[in-house]
Amino acid sequence: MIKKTDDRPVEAAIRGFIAANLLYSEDGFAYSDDASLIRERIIDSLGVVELAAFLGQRFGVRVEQSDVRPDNFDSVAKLAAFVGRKLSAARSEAAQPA
Amino acid sequence: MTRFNHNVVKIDPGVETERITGFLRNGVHRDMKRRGGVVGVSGGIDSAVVLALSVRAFGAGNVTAVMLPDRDSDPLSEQLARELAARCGVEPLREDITEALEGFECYRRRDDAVRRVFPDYDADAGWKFKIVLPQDLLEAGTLNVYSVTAIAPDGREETRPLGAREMLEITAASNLKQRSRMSALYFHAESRQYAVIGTSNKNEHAQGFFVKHGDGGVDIQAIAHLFKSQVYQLARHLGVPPSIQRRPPTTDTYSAPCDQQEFFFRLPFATLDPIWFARDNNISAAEVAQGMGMPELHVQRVFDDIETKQRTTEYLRLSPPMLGPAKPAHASLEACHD
Repeated sequence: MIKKTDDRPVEAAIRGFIAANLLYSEDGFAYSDDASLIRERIIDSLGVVELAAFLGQRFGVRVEQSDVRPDNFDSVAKLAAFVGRKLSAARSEAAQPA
Repeated sequence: MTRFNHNVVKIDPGVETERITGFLRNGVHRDMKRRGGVVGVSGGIDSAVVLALSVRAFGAGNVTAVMLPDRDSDPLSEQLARELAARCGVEPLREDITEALEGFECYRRRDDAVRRVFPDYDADAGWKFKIVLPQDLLEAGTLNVYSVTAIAPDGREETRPLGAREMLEITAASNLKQRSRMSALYFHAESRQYAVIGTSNKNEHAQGFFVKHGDGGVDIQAIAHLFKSQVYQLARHLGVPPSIQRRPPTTDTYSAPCDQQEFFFRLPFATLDPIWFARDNNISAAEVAQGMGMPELHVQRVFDDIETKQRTTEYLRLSPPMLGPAKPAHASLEACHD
């Protein structure tokens, strides 16, 4: 298992979800955050659906079909950046005067 | 150097026909010691070509064509299958698998899952459904995430995202169809000392568009090395009825009509097949883009989609793994040498 020294909460939560629900691993997420989830055969079409549902439940992020692209979903780092952008957009929207 | 173009997938259909019929004869007669072949005929182009090839390989008297409709099947499928069988000089058998599927509760299990997405869905009242992928692979490069489309009796149509649990249950229930068909084909094969001849093409086999132990459960694959566009070339050579050649490839699995492009391939075969050929032959995306008049990014997205489907469906093509012989206990090994 690769020890994660930089345990930012979004990345850690995503790693934990993938390890438990897609890898069925008892050893955690043994890849780098930049590893391609597609090339490593970690996610298939079902895995993508499960990840999208997890992002919604855990972070309150609404995932549109057009969001489900490799540049948003193909690594832990890309997923975390996607969550960050979505949350930031939601905060900006909430801050707009009615 | 010849510029890359669509013609890279052109074959010599006469030569390929001889090659395949020789392969079938050797495989079935010599290796399997079987007398002939059973082919499940769906009214589609692939099974039509395989039936015609099997008749050439074994003779019409040693080939059984079986139609396997269920209550969701398009009646046109049977009509075309009969036309084909007549052209090949074979009397087709008909095995309606609806009652077998009702025994497995295929329809109830599948419709329960659809109803969790569309609570108003009612198959008895005439609602229909299908499963689809987004059709924007070239433009947006989206991943393969399935949605379900429900069609109300008045023609209203709506598409909603499919959750993981519903996707698994609909797939598992629908796969009972292909597995029931496989069982029926093996009944006819075993009772005649025949082999079951597979009808998957390369697009289906290599990208995982088949059901393990369903339509993938066969004794020999006749056309799994051919792109779909090459199957059409053989169809013309073998005299497959034009009505079958013109019919858009369909899944004929869900209650609503669903073509193979919207369900799985996401592109016309005329675009997909040359790009796949290029990928198999290490031709760069830039060269393909230039030859086919497409943006390089679009070609790369097709390369990536092919790779993703091949990787994620590898398990379907694997034989069950098994361990080597168990290590004898020390005492029992000694007993052998006594």
